[in-house]
Amino acid sequence: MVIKKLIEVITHIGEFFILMKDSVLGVTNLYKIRKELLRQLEFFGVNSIPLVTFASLFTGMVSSVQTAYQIRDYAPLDFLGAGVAKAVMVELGPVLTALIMAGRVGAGIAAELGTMRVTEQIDALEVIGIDPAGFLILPRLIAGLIMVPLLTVLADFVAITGSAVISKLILDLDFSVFFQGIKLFFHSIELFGGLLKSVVFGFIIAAVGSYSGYIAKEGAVGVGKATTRAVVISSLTVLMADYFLGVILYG
Amino acid sequence: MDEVILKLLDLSKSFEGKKVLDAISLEVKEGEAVAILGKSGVGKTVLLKSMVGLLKADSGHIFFKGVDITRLKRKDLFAIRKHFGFVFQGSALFDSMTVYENIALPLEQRGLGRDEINIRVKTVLELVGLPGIENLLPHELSGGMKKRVGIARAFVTQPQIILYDEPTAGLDPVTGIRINHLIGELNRKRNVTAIVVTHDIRSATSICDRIVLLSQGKLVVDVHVKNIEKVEHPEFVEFLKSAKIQEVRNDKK
Ligand SMILES: Nc1ncnc2c1ncn2[C@@H]1O[C@H](COP(=O)(O)OP(=O)(O)OP(=O)(O)O)[C@@H](O)[C@H]1O
Ligand SMILES: [Mg+2]
Repeated sequence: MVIKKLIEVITHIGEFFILMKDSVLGVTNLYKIRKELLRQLEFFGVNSIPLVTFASLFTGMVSSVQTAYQIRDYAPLDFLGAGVAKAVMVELGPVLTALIMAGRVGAGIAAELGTMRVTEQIDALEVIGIDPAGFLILPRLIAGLIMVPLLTVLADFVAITGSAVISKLILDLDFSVFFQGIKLFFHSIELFGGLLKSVVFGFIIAAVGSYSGYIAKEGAVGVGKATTRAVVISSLTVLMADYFLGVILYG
Repeated sequence: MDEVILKLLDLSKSFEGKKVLDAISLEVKEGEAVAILGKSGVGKTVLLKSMVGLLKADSGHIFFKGVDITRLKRKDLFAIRKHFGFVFQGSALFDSMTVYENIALPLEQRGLGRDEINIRVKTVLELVGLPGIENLLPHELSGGMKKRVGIARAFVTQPQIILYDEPTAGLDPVTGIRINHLIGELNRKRNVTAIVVTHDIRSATSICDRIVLLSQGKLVVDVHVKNIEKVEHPEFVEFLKSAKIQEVRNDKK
């Protein structure tokens, strides 16, 4: 029973990587997928801006309050900006954005490709002589790789700004002090390490969502399963990858 | 004309231990129209999809003009599929694309110029009796219109062979007859080989030269339409009877 399950999981992982390889090889036909790529860039990026802004604004705001509370016995508030900025750039920005995207975009990809699978649209592409991997999955991968880091930059910016505003309003900490703290302790690896993580997360979200939808079966029920599976697996993989990348980058 | 275009040899396929296709062999000649008859769930769709490699058979061979497509690499398989058209049971139009984009896609894939594509799309939509619907989206079409757009998409590349999966199922009789007429015309006037999966023996007899019956994984009947009255296989007789009953009913009206 356990062994059977294990074999199933390993088979899936194998098939996942084969599908990703086929998708990436589709890059030779890039001009044919430009329309789909634009659609995905919009779906991934533009349409996610409100949600990411909203979530990171509140995360930044609560970070001020929380950090101030945590450091109040052993450090002056002058360090607040530095503390919040580090937490946001290294961890909160990339992970929060990725989890939001896993829920919004990963699920959307799985539902769309799953529907295309069970309504034979993927078969129809194959018959036309178009490799569905390169045609459907590659644009989603590219969109993920580009848009998730960009949204992370946005999230970082909004969260830190939100934090600065709340520090001023509630803790009466001057903007100049807040940003001075950030400047003083800033290491570029914090920002770029965070962005590097978000590139990996972007791949995970697009790839897991695509694979999950691509292998859907059994009609509407199967599409539902594929969607849930995409969100669960991509969220967990993001958190796992975050740990290992954290160890590599900052350990 | 008498050349074999598609040949199946001992084709078998199981799903989770259930044998759906059991050593099927079939030869289809160029220009022929063959109907595959069978009850719901016997594996007609599985058989049709295996013919273009959409499903991998467990064993056996499929030859397209002598080339064994079960042995082809992915890339070569895609190349050989250009000779095929496939009309799906549920039409399978791409729902994010307009009718025009749906029909143009296989032409773009072949690298045709924009002018040529525009002409071909227009012509083929007229052929299926739906001129001027280029800019509609699939969800704006009725079931019968979708089927006809599906046929248009399959035919626009001028393939040598078209596989039809229940092209008339679930349609009103008038639209059904129209589609049958279209399939027959493509076959007779343009010499497109047709393999038509159906459970309606009357559309089978009206379009096809030959009828085969799929039952319990085997092709149990293979007969020219002229001789269908002579077939003794009970399931085939059942199919014939059901058609006759309908005829009687129609007479009474
Ligand atoms: N991908 C699959 N996985 C598991 N079983 C399948 C799969 N595809 C088909 N089957 C099984 O194979 C059998 C034949 O299915 P198929 O769709 O070919 O029937 P059909 O003759 O086309 O029926 P219908 O007239 O209803 O379309 C069914 O029992 C079905 O459950
Ligand atoms: Mg079927």
